[in-house]
Amino acid sequence: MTRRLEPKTVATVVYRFDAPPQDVFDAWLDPDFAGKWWFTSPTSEMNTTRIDGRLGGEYEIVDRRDGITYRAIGTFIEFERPSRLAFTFAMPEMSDAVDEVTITIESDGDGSRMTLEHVCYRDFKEPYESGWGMMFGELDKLLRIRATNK
Amino acid sequence: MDQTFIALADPIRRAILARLNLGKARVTEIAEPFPISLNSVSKHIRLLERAALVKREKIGREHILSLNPSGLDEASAWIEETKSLWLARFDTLNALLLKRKRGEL
Repeated sequence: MTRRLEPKTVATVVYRFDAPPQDVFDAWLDPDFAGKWWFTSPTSEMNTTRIDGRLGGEYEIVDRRDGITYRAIGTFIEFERPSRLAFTFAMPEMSDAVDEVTITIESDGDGSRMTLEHVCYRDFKEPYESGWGMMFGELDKLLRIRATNK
Repeated sequence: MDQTFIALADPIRRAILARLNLGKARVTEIAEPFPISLNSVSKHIRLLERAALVKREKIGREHILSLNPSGLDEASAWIEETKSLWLARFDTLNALLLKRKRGEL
């Protein structure tokens, strides 16, 4: 894989699940199941999750909440069931940024321990395409258009 | 960081910050796009001020709001927001896995 440009910002989360590694691994890949938790929220009004769970396979999740439609897409770049999964993550309507998420799953008693590393390559010093711009996405764009039309 | 968390946890407050990310604005301008009362918007703004994310200047009778750049290191904010997002998802996922184990799903 080609080295990505710095700067690189990493968020790491460790979580213990009450289910064996293969169940946790498969939870990312079964569209019906993933659609209930991956890229959705309790206020979601509509969710469509499509996942081609294999190395090089792609996913697309569309979730509508609080009146805004969010679309996430990506490609599985590492795939070792049930211990390791990595994929790219982008929200093309909101940003050109492509993040990378890597998950490692280990057995832990009758459950499993998952470590997730979410890497983004955005330059947070830029006012646009920044954390703000990305997070606030569509509304930000709408307001920009309104401001321009005034 | 707790106050920042709370401040960022609400879609209206994130939208207010998104608006201010475009530049300074009057309270009334900020309130305009939202389907809630000016009073509710003001409450959200006060919470953002308390979290030091937003600052207020008084120019004559006008209250002008802007992002407080020192209030938040953008990269740290992204890290915290991303972590809390995944943790919330994993709570949901673990609850689903347990439900399925019990045959309720």
